[in-house]
Amino acid sequence: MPGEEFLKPRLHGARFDDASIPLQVLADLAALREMIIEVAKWRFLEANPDRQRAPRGFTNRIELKLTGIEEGSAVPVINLTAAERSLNGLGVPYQEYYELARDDIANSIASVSQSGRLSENKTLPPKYLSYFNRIGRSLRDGEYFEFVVPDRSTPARLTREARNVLLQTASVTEITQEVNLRGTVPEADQDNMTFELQQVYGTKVVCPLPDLHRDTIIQAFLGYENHIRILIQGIGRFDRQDRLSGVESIDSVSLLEPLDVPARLDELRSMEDGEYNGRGSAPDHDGLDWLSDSFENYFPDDLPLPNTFPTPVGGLEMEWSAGGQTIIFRIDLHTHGGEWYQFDTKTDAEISRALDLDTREDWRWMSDRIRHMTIVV
Amino acid sequence: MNDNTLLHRVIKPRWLVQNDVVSSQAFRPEPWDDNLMSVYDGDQITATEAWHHYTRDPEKAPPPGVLSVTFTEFTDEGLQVCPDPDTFPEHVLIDYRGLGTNQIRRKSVNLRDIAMGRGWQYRAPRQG
Repeated sequence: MPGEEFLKPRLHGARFDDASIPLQVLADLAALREMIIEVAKWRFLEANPDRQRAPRGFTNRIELKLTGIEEGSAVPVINLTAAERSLNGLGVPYQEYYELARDDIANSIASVSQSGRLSENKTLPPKYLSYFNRIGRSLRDGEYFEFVVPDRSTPARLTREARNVLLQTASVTEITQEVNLRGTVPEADQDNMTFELQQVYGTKVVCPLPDLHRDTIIQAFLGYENHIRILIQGIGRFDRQDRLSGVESIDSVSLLEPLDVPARLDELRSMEDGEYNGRGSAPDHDGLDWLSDSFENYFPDDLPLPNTFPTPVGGLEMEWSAGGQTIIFRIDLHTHGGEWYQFDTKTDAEISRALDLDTREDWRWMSDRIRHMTIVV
Repeated sequence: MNDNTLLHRVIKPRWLVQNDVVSSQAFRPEPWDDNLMSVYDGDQITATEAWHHYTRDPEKAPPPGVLSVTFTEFTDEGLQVCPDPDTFPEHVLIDYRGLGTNQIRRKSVNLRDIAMGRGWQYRAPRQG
C-alpha cells in the first residue's frame, strides 16, 4: 500500500535537472525523516502533558517512503504509510502529529528564508534545529530545498544561508558541510589513522585516514616533495566564523593531474593586486569560484588540460599547444565572456571567436575545437 | 648590440610560470606599456645581473627568472629593437606598435617558444 502523499520538497539547482537526485543528497532526506519523527514525538508530548514518553509504536508503526521523483527541478515524493498491514482501516497512527511536525519544520525554514532570522513564534526547540546540521549539508551555492508551507503564499527555501541561520539559532558550535578540498599531504600518521592536508589555498587540516583510500593518500604523502596533490570529497566541519576546522568523513580521494584547473585556480587565490610592478589586478575570488565550478561541470575529462595563467587585468588566460597549433583562450571573470584565438604555424590557419561561458553550447564548441586539435596531432 | 646579442626578459610575476611552462604573455607588452616591451641588452648586462637589477626595488616581488631572445629572433618576427638608454643604460624596448591583438599573441607564442628552447638564463631560488 503506497500510503498518503506526505511531503514533496522541491530540489532546485542544475544537479537536480531532469528529475534526478544525486545519491549523496538522499542522506539529507534520511536526516529529514529523523527530524520529522523527533519533532512529531515532541508535538505529541506537548499535547499530552501527562505522558512521559511517546507511546510504543509511535515511530515503528509508520514509514516515510520515497515513492517517486517528479520534475521541477527534482521533486521527491515522500509518502507516509502504516508499517503494518494489520492496521487496515485505522489509517496511519498519530498521523496528525507527523503533519504538525512537517509543518513546524517548513515554518521554521520559511521564517528564516523570508526574514533572515527565526521569528520567536516559529521556533522549534534548539535541539531539533540542530538536525539541520545533516539536512542541507550537500547543498551548493545557488541550490535550495523548497518546502510548501500551509497558509503561506511563498514557499520555504532551505539555502546554505538559511541553514546557517537555523544552526546558529540551534547554538551548534560546528556546522558540517559537503566539501571538495585540494592539497598536498605533508604528514600521515598510520598509528592514529589521520593525515594532514595542506590546502592549495587555505590552512592545514587534519583528516581521518580511511582504509579504503589509504593507498592514494600514502602515495600523495610520498610524493609531497614533487607537489603531488589530491582532491578530497567529504564532509567538513566549520566553526561559527565559517572557518574549516576539520574533516569529519571522507567519501572519495583522487590524485590530481599536475595541470588540474580548479587546483590551479585555488593557487591563484593567493595572488594580490599590484604584482606587476605595483600595477595590475588579481583575479576576483567569486569569479574563480564560478570558473572552477563551470570547468568541473562542462569541460570533458578526456581532453588535455591547459596551462592556466592570470592576466594583468584580473582575468585568466588558458593555453593549449600541440603539433604546431596553439590556442590562447582569454576569460573575463566578471562578464564570463571568453576570447578564443587558435592558430596553426604549419598552415597559417586562424580561428578567432568570442564565447559566452554561461552557455553549454559554447563550452561544447570549445571542447570540440580542442578535441579536433588533439585528433589532428 | 649585434644580431646575436641576447636580450633578456625578466619573467614576472611568478604566476606566469606553471609546471615550468611560461605563459606567452611574458613576451607581450603589459596593457600600460603602450605596446613597448622592456628587455635588457645582454652585451651590457648578464641575465643574472638583469634579475638583480629588477629586484633591487624591495617593492617588487622576486620574479622567477630570466629568459632571452636574440636581436635577430626579434627582428625576424618583424619587431623593431630600440635601445632606450635614457631610462637606464641597458634598457631596450621591443616595439609592438601598429600590430593587432592576435598578431601580438602569435608573436608572443613564437618568442616564448624560442626562449624556452634556449632555456632559463637565470632561475631564481624557489621561494618558500
